[in-house]
Formats: sequence, structure tokens, C-alpha cells
Amino acid sequence: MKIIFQNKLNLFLFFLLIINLIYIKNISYFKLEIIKNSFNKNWIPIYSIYRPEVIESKYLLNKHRISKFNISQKIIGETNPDFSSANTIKATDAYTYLRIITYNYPIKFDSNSKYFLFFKNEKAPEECKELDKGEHLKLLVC
Amino acid sequence: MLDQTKRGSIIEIVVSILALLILLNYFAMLIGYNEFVIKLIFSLYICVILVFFVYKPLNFFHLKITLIILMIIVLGNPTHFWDAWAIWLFHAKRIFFEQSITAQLDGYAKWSHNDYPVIAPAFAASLATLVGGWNNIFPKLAFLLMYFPPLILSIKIFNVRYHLLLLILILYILNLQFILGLADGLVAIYFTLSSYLIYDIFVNKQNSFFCLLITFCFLIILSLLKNEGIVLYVILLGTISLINFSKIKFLQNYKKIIFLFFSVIPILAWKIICFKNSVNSDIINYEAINALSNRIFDYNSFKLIFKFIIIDTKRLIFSIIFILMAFYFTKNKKVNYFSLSIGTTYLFFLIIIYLIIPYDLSWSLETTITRVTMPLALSFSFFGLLQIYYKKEKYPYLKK
Repeated sequence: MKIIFQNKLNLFLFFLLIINLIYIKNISYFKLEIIKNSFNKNWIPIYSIYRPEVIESKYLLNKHRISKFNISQKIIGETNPDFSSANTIKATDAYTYLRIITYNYPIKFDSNSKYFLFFKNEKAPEECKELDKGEHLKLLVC
Repeated sequence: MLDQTKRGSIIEIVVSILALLILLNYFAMLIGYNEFVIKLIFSLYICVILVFFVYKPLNFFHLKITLIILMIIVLGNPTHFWDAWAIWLFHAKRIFFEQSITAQLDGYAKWSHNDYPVIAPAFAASLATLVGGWNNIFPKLAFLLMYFPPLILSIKIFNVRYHLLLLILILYILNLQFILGLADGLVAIYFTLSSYLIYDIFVNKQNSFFCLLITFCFLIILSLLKNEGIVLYVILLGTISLINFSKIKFLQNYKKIIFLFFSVIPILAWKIICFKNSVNSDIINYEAINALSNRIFDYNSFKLIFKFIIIDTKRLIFSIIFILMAFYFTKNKKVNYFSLSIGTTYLFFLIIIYLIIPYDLSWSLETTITRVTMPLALSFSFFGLLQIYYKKEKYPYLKK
């Protein structure tokens, strides 16, 4: 510590280092609320996930103790998009679908499951029965 | 105050222990997911770091402050970056819940690049095991903890002033990589320090056992971080061979070379496990040759790649200018040629990979070029600084 504070050039470099760290903090999405809950296992990551339907999907699946779920085609979006085209890649919005899968794990996505997540305003097949609904999604058994 | 040799030895021992613990954690998981063993290894890792933090004579106050601030920033940041939640932390989550390092090889969620090596996710899963649960935020801390061995080793290489400069350069180049929960920054730092160690052992003729052990561990970690790490690892092994075969020094160094070549076993084992489970890379596969033959004669592909390399990689351009200026002032051919030859080889491989990539080239370049050129930018900056340091501090190796 002495070596840094006894020499002006070292001190200047040390300040540059601190400024660099402050810069990193400023360009990041740092929030005190996150740090307070960083080890809280029950905390809902509202700043990590920017679509409320993803957070709601976990609430619905946990409430009904479902271990495997299916997702409507509208949430999945285009199946097997052509990634050789930049326009398709940019147009494909897979965020909700992929985030639901990663966030809900170990509850697994299974295309054979009878429990379906649909958007609330999405038209569901007639043979499906509504189990529950939230603000953005509804849970159906088909 | 410790003398330089003793200080260097203590640092080497600590770095060896930390690197060995990272590997031990990985191999312990590979053998079987014993929670007690995993908790023990991770606790030991934290204890070694704590001891090192409170041990005053090593004199690295600035690094301690940097690491503490970075830890606070990591824990206060959301996990929002796509690759972090969709690949790295998802793999870690799978390892943690399935209690198996090969959890991702069951064919579930194929889009999450299941062929990627898992040393970093395994380390994050260990932290979750120690904490006793999962959360979206804290597993990223494990990624930051993996930066510790190379960063601690760097204080042995430079004096305080130059180390301050190095940290500023590292923070400038890696930037948010420290806190996003990605493996690209780790690849960059392990590659840079591994190249330095190889330079030290085979060019500077450093004969320390710990130096060799650290190189061995760093090479294994580098190869198990990411596919780019494997490419860099192969380049480094090639460099070792080239340095020794070119001057017929092979007989002098054959024990070291054979020892370092054993580091290929873990990544080879991982790739064999992937192959047995039919998990393939989406880039390097049988279709790669077709893609290469389509693009290799296409002038526009090369034009696009070089356009992105020149325009989108300001840190790489800065580091190239920096190393060339350092060479102009120091005329240290050994360091300069060593780092430039490794860098150019990597750039060559990078261009080949972009030519075989099965996705839209412009999109691939746009989303990855800054990250994949980071090892180059960091290593050029590191070796540029090393040249200046050798010149200014009249480092003894120069007199040889």
C-alpha cells in the first residue's frame, strides 16, 4: 500500500484504476436491491428477466406442481428458423420461449406434456381445459 | 518486506493451489457428484483466497481492491446477457440440479450449445452446492473467482507500477466480461498468462517446477473453457513444438514438453463423451467443408470479415498499435515475434471458422467479433507492456 501512496505516478495510476472500476459499475445495470438479494434463493429476478410472462410461467407451474410442461406455438414462434439469413434471425423472437425453458428448469419443457402454457389472449383448442390464468399467460390441460 | 525470489515463490505456490483446486473440482464432479467433496474443495478455494488477501507482505493492495469491487459489482448486476443465461448459467443450473457434470448431454435444450466444455459452469454449480440452492445472480461470482489465479500470477511478473498499468489495460479490454457471467474473458486471460508462461519456460529458460505446473493447469483450464479456448490451446501446443524443434532443443526440454502435452487428455475425454452421446458442434461438423468451399472463393466474405475486424474491434486495433509502438521503442524481438506469431495464427484460424460458420456471416460477425478477438487484444497489450517493462526495469533476461 505504501508503494502506491508514496509515489505520485503510482497514485495517479491507482486513481485511474478506480475510475475504470467506477466506469464498469456505471455502464452495468448495478442495483443495490440485487446485491441485497444476490444469495436469496426465493428472490424473483425482475431485473434479469424483462418479460413478465416468463416470471409468471414459473408461478403458474409451481402453483400446480407441474414437472413437465408444453408451450403454445405462438410462444415458441417459428420452428426451425433459417439462421443462414440475417433477416430471419433478427425477426425471430425466441426470447420468451427460451427464457421460459431456462428459468423454469428443473421443471422441463416436454412436447408430449398435456400441460400447456398459452398467452392469455391466445385462442386455445376447444378440447383444452383452463386450469389457471395470470395477467399474461394461462395454463391449460389438453 | 519479502525479497523478490521468496515473494515470487509464494505467489507461484498459491496460484498452483488455486488452479489445482479448480481442476480438482472438475475431476471430482466427473467421477461422481459427492456434495461433501465439492463443498470441501470450494471452501478450500475460498480459504486460500482469504489467506492470500490477509497476507500482507506480498504487497498487492491495488489488486485486492479491484477484486473486491468487482465482486460487489457482480453480485449487484442482473443476469441479462443472452449467452450467460442461455448457455453458461443454464449449463451450471443443469449440473447443479441433475448432480452430474454431463447433465447437458441428454439432448434437452439442444440450442444451448451442449457440446461446450463445462469447467466454468461446473465451478458455478459448486458454488451453488456450497450455498445450498440456486439463484440467478450469485453463480456468476464463480466465474469471477476463476479469474483469480491468472490475476494473482500477474503480480509476480510486474512491479507495482507496471501491474497497475496492466490492471488498467485488463479492465479496459475485458470490461463487462468480468460481471456478465461469460467465459470469453476467462479464455482471454488464461490464454495470455499461458502464453507468457510458455515464453518464460521455453524462451527465458525458467526452470521452476511450480511454473511448469501452473502452465499445465492453465492449459487444461483454457482448453475446457470454450471452443475458442481449444483453438488457442492447440496454437500454444504448436508454439511449444515449434520453439523446441526449430532449434533442436527438443532433447533438452523433452520431459517438459511431454508433461505439457498430457494436458490434452481432459478435453479429449470431454469430446469423446460428447461424441458417444451424439452431441455435436453446430460449427465444426461434416457440413463445414461445404460451407468453406462456398465461401473461400467469395471475395465479399473476406471483405466483410476484414471490415468487421477493422471497424468493430477498437480494442484489438488499440492493442496492435500498442505492441508495435512498444516494439519500436524497445526493439525486443523475442517477445514481439513470439506474441505476434501466436496472434496471427489465431487470427488465421478465426477467419477459417468464420468461413465455415453455418449462419449468416454478417450476423455472426456482428454478434461475436468483439468477444472472440478479446484474447488477441489482451495478449498484445500484455506483451507490449512486458516489452516496456523489460526495457525500463532492465530485466535480467535481456542481458542473456
